[in-house]
Amino acid sequence: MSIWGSSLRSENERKKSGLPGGVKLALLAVLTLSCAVLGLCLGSTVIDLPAALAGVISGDLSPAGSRILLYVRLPRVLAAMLAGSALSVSGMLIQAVLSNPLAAPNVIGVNAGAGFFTFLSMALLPGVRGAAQLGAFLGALSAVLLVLAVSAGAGRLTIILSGVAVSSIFTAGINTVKTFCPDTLYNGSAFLIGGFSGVSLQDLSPAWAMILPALALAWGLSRQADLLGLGEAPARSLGLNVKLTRFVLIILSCVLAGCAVSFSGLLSFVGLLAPHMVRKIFGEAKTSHRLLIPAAALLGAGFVTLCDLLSRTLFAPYELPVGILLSFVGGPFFLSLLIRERRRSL
Amino acid sequence: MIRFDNVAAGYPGREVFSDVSFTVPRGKITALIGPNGCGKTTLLQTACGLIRPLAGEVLLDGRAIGSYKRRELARLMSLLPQSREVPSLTVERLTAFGRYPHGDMRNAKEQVEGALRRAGAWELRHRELRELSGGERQRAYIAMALCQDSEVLLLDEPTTYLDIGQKNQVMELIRSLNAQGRTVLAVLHDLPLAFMYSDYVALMDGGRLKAFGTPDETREAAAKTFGVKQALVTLEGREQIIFY
Repeated sequence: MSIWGSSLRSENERKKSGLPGGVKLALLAVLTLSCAVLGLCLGSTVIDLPAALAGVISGDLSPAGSRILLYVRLPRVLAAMLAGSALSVSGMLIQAVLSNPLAAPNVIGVNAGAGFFTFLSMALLPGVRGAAQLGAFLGALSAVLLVLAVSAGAGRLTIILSGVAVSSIFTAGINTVKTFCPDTLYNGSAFLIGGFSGVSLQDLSPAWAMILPALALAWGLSRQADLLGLGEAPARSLGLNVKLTRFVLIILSCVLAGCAVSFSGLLSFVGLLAPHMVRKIFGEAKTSHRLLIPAAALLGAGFVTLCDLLSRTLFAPYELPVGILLSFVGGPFFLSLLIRERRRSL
Repeated sequence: MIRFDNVAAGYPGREVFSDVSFTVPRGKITALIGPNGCGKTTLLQTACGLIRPLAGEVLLDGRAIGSYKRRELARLMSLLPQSREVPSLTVERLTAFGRYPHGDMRNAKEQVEGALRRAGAWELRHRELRELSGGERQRAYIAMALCQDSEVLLLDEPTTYLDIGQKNQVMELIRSLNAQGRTVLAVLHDLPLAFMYSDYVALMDGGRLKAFGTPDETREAAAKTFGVKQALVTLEGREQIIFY
């Protein structure tokens, strides 16, 4: 053993690291796909997927299974997958930009900002296509900018506390719009909790057209996201335009969270849970965002689809909005992170 | 090589140093010394373009630092920063970041291995930075700087956190890199070490360059600045400057 502490441990650790990242990613894809298939098949009525699918493809919607698949299950599963992947990657980007593992779209007020502007745009511009998505993006962006302005140069917990304050301001805004314009959004309470009941393919069309390119762009910037982890001075000395990178990643994060909120409502904790689970599975220290971002997208999609399936089957014939289930899982997880952070800073 | 021409620099509303003029000679080790808060780190960051001068100019090979593109400059200069935050990375990944300015991070196995071996960090490659001692972490950062493969090394307190044996090993490593033709500008807190290993010393105090020259030319000014005494002694047949 040298003076530098070279050790036998390194080889053991390498062996311990398990499956290669690519294999883990492939397994995650299979699991997500399985969740999607289960989400399509199971519910208040179990449908024969191949038969229902054949009906949809051939245009023969006379069997009930085909109609359920096309008008209920497919939009719902696609919405869950789209929202899960968007919120998860949004959380991962925010955490990279702020170098803060506690940051997530709902924690720092992004969801509430997006929700408020969605309500506002629907009250002021009813029926205008794309208004909700644009409003959600602007709301998400204003929440992030507000939090960044208030907590500039401050520690991790200050960012979180600023987010709590910003979140409560925007939530008050939502309630104000709801009070004065009660007909703004059908089932406004469900929007506040977050869920996918009643979502249609039309609701998803403006959102997916923004979410998919944003996911691709985020993946394209994975090297830059990696470098941000070094800290500002080292990253800049390696030639990275840190300000521009942070700005672009924040915009992407807001597009993702805003678009997801526009059709799923204020889903909580997906952007916190999924990135943490991915880092745990892949090993943060040895894995690039090049792998972490697609993994977060897959895990977020599978996780929300599974939670949605559970929320509508566990208490059947009653349906629990998926946002409630996510809060029950995410809340304690967030508390455990806070406790870990407190111990770390002691 | 690197020329400071009446440079003043600082942060919004606060000038840290001013009227600094000297040249870091090519292929030499220049130590940057001075009391805490005198502007050494700010000067180093100005040298690599992280901070824009408020007045004057910093030139690299006769060309203003500000005129270089970010990645172009990063291919010419590496900065070993004072590490405070410890990123969640393995040593191998940190080292590979050194290839970012070259745009070949994914295909640089040979360069990464070479840098790790030269920095004596090969055995640490799979370990996480947070698990390492201060000395091991410095080795990891030096490996990243080596992987950057630049002619100029800017080192901000490379011997911080190290015990005396580790300090000497890092300085020997820096000397061997210098012997391969690299120009080194290093902020050093340890005066005997700075005077033992450097070809030139730049002494800063109160935001001004107080002295620049060979160790022999600057030792008296250094002793006066730090309020200590200095002497030239012969140890094992070699002349050494000591401060006491």
